[in-house]
Amino acid sequence: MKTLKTVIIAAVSCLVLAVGVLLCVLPRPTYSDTEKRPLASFPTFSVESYLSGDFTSGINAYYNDTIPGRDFFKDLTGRISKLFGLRPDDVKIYIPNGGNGLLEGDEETTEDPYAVTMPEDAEPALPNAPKDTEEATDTEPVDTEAPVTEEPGTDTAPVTNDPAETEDIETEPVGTILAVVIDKTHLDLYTDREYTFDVRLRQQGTPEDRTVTITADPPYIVSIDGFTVRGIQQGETTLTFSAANGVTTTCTVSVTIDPNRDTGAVVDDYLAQYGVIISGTRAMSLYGGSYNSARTYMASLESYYQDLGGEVNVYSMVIPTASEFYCPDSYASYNASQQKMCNYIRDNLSGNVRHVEVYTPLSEHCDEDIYLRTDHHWAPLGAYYAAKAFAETAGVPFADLSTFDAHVIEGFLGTMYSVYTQDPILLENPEDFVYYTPTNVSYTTTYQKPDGTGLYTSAFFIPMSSRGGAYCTFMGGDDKITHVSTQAGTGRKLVIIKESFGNALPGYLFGSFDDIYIIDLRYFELNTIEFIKETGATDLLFATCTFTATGPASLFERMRVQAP
Amino acid sequence: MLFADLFFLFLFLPLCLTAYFSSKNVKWRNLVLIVFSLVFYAWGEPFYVLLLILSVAINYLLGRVIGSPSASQTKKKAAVLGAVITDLALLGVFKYSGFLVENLNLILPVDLPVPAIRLPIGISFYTFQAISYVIDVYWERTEMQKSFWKFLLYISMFPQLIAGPIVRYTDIAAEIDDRNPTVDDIYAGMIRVICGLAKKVIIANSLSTVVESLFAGQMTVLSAWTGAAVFALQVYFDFSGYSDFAIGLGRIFGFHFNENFNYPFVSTTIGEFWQRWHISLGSFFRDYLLMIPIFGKRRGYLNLFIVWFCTGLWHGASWNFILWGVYFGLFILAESLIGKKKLKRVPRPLMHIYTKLVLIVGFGIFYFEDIGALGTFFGGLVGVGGLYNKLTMNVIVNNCFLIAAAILLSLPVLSYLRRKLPAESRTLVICESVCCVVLLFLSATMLVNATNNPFLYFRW
Repeated sequence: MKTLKTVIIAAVSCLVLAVGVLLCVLPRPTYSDTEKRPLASFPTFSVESYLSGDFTSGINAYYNDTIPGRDFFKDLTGRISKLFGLRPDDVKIYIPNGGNGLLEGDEETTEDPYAVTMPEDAEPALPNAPKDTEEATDTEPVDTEAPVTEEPGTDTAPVTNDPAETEDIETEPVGTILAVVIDKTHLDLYTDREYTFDVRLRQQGTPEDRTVTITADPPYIVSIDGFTVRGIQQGETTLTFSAANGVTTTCTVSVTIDPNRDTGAVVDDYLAQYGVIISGTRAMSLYGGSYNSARTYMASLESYYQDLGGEVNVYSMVIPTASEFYCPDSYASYNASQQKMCNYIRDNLSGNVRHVEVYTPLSEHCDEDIYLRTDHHWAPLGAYYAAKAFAETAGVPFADLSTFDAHVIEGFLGTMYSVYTQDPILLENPEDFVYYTPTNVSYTTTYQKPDGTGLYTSAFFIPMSSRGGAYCTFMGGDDKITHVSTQAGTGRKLVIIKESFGNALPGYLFGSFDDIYIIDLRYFELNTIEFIKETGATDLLFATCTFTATGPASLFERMRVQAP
Repeated sequence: MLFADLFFLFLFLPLCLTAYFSSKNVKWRNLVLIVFSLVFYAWGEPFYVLLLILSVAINYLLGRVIGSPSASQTKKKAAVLGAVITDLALLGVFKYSGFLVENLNLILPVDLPVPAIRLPIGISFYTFQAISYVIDVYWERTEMQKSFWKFLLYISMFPQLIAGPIVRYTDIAAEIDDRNPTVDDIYAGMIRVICGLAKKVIIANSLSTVVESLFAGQMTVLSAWTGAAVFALQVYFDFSGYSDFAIGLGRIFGFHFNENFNYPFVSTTIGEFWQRWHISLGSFFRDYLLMIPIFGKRRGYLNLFIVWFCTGLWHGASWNFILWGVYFGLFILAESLIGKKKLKRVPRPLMHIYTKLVLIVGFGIFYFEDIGALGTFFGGLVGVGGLYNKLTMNVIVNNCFLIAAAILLSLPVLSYLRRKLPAESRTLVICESVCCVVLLFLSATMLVNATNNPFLYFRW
C-alpha cells in the first residue's frame, strides 16, 4: 500500500512539475484572435508598481492570461458547462456582468432613462402637431357634425335658467360662443396611448365659426391630432381649447410611461439591458432601449444638419438587431420592441433629417441569413438590403447583388461566443461568414489613424483567417479614418458616421458615390463638422444599431462638439 | 497570491515543495516555510507584510513577558491585556474604522471624515491566531515560544494565513520542532488539496454565476429562495474548499490542523450548524470571548448576544453581517430555551426543514450588503415580486445538474461510501487518485477561463 501511494505521489508530482516547467518554457501568445484583444504583457518593475501591488498582480495576470493553447482550455470549459443542466426549449439565457459591450466608451448613466430632459437645441417635431394655430384649424374636424353639435335652442352644457341670462340672449348678436365644454379637466395618459376629447360649445344662436383649436403648453409632452391627444413623453402639460372668439377652457394632462407597454411588458429591465439569449444555435442580445435616448439621438442629428448649414443631406439609419426577429415568443417579455422604436424615430425625426427605412426590408428578408448567429453583428447580406434602402432614399444608383463576388469564410465563431458566453452549442455550430465584394467599379482605399495622421493605402476588404476575425474583413477594424475614392462618377460624396454595424455598408456603395469617408463614433478624434465640410460631402449618413442610437451613451453629441 | 491560481499551483507551490523536501532537517524546512510564506504574503501585500511582521513581533515580545517564569502576575496581566488590545486595535483600525466613523456620523451630529483604509489580507485570521496564543500562554495551556522565527512561522504559515482555519498555537506547537510527514500524510494531504481546489474552482465558481443570474432582475419567490439556497452552497464550497486546501497542504508539510467544516447542512438545529460551520471561529469565541471575566456566566443572554454580534461583525464591517450574526444568535437562544430534550422529540424531517429555511434566509442576509437590496430580497421571499418568472425557471433548469451535484456533495455521501469499503483497499486508492488527477486537470482548465478568483471569505 505504501508503495502504491508513493508511486502515486511521485506520478502526480512529476505531472505537476512537468506542467510547471512547460508553462515556464513554452512561448506565450501575445494576442487573442478569438477575443480580439492583446493579451496581458509582463509588467514593468518600479518601486511604485511593486508597492502598490500592481507588479505582482501583473505577473499573475500575465501568467494566467497567456497560457499557451488558452483557446483549447476555454473551449473545454464551455463544453464542461454543458453538463451543468438542460436547455428547455433549446434556450439558454446568459446575464453577463457589466453590460453587453455593444455600447463602448461611455459609462452608464444612472438617471432614470425616461426622465424628461430636453436637449438644448432641440425642437422635436411631433407627429400631427399643429405648428401654429392656423394649421390646427385646417385639420380640425370641427366642421363635421358629430363632436361639436348644437342642439337647437338648448345649451349643451349645464346651464342655469338665469333670468338675467335669458334677457341677454335677446340682445346678443347672431351667434356667440359662450364656452368650450370638454369632458375632462384632467387627463392621465400613458405614452403611446391616445385619448379623444369630447368637445362641445355652449353657444347662443349660430356662430359662424365653430372651430376649436387645441394647444399644449409645454408642447412636447403630447401630440395633437384634431381632438385626439397622444402621450409622447413623460411630464405634465396644459391643453388649452380655444374657440374662434377667444373663449377658452383648459385641461391638464399627466403623461407617464406605460408600465405595460403593449410590446409585451418588459418585466425585467436589467435583463433587457444586459441579457443574452441563445435559442437553438443562435445567440442574441436582448434589447432594452430608451425613448429618451432616442430623442437625444434625433436632436443631435438635427444639430449636425444645422451645423452644416443645411447644405448636406443628413440621413438616419437605425439598424435593428437579431433579437427583434429571432427571439422566441415565450421570452418576448424580456425583449422590448425595436420595431416600435424604429417607427418612433421614423415618425419623430425633424424634417431636415431623412429617415432610411431598413426595418421593413430586413423583416421581409429575415428568413435569409441576414444576421450572424454567433456574433452580435448583422451579416453582410443584411447590410446589402440596408444599403439598397439607403441608396433609394438618397437617390443614387445602386448595384444589384448579382454584380458582386461572394466570399465565404467557414467556421466563424463571433463575439457572442468568444466575448459574451463561451456557450458550447455555439462552439459546435460555427457559421459561414459570407461577404460580397464589388466587381464593376474600381476604387482606392486609404486609411488614417483617428487623429488624422499616418496615411496609407490598403485594401478595403482585408482577408481574415482566424476563427473569430471575419467581421474585421471590413477595413480591418474600427479605429481608423477610411477614405474610399471611386470611379462612380455620380458627383455625390458620402460621409458615414458609424459604429461597427456600419462597417458592412460601404462596400455596396462604391458605385453610388464618388468618395466615401467612414469615421467611427467611438474613435474619431478630429473636429467632425470641419472634417465633413472639408471633404465636400453632399451626404452624411448615420449608421448605427438600435443599441447605440437608443442606449445611454451620448456618443453622437460628443462627436459633434469635440474640437481637435 | 491565491490558491486557486495557475501561477500558485504550477510555479510557486512546486518550487516550495521541492525546496521543502530537499532536506529532512526540520530547521531547513521551517526556513523554507518562513521564506515562502513571507513571499506569498508580500506578493499580495507588498507594504502590509511589514504590518504582519510588526504584529508578530509585538505578540512575540509580549508572549515572552507573559510566559517568563520571573515575571510578576501583574506584569503578565498587563502584557496579555496589552497584546490583546493591540491585536484588536489593529483589526479595528484596518477593518472597522470606516464603518465606525460612518455610523458615528449617522448617530451624532458630527461629520467626521470617513477613513478609507484598505484591509490587509488575512488580518482577521492572523490577529485571532495571535490572540489565541497570548491568552493560551497566560492561562498556562502552553509554553511560550522562545524563538521569534518559530513564532513567525506559526503566524505566517501560508496554508492558513490568508483564509484560515484559525489554527491554535497549542495544536501545532509540538509539530514546529518535530514533524515527519509520512507517505500516508502526503498522500492524504494531496488528495485533500485537489478536492479543495475542485470544490472551489469547479463548484463554487460555477455556482456564483448561477447566484448572480438568479438575483439579477425581478426578485420573485422562486428566485429569492433558490438564489439564497444556491448562495449558501456556493459559500460552503468556496470556504470549505479553501479550508480543505489549507488542511491538506498543512498535512503535506507535516502539520495536523483541526477540521473547519463537518458537513454543516446535515444539521437539525442551528446550534448544531454552528458546530459544523467554520468550527475554528466558533470555538475561538467559545474559548476566548466567553472566558474573559467580565463576561461571566451569569449574564447568559448578554453573552450570547455579544458572541453572535461579534461573529457577525467578524465577517464584515457592514450592518447586514451584524444582522446575520444576531439572526443566528436569536435562533440559538430560542433553541436553548426550548431545550435539547424537547427538540429531540420533534420529528427529524421537520427539524431539517426548519434548519434549511432558517439557513437559506440567513445566507440571503449574508449576500446583500446594501440594505435596500436586502429589503427587496425580503420582499421577494414573501412574494412581493411575484411567484416566479421564465428567467428564473430557465436559469434553474440550465443548471439543474450542477445544483443537484452540489447538494449531494454537501452531504457526507462520499465518506459514507468510504466507510462501507474495506479500510485499505488498493482499488479505492487507485480510483481516488485517478479521480483526483481528472479533477486537477479540470480545475486547471477552468482556471484558464477565469479572470480573477478571489476566495469569498477573502475580504477578511
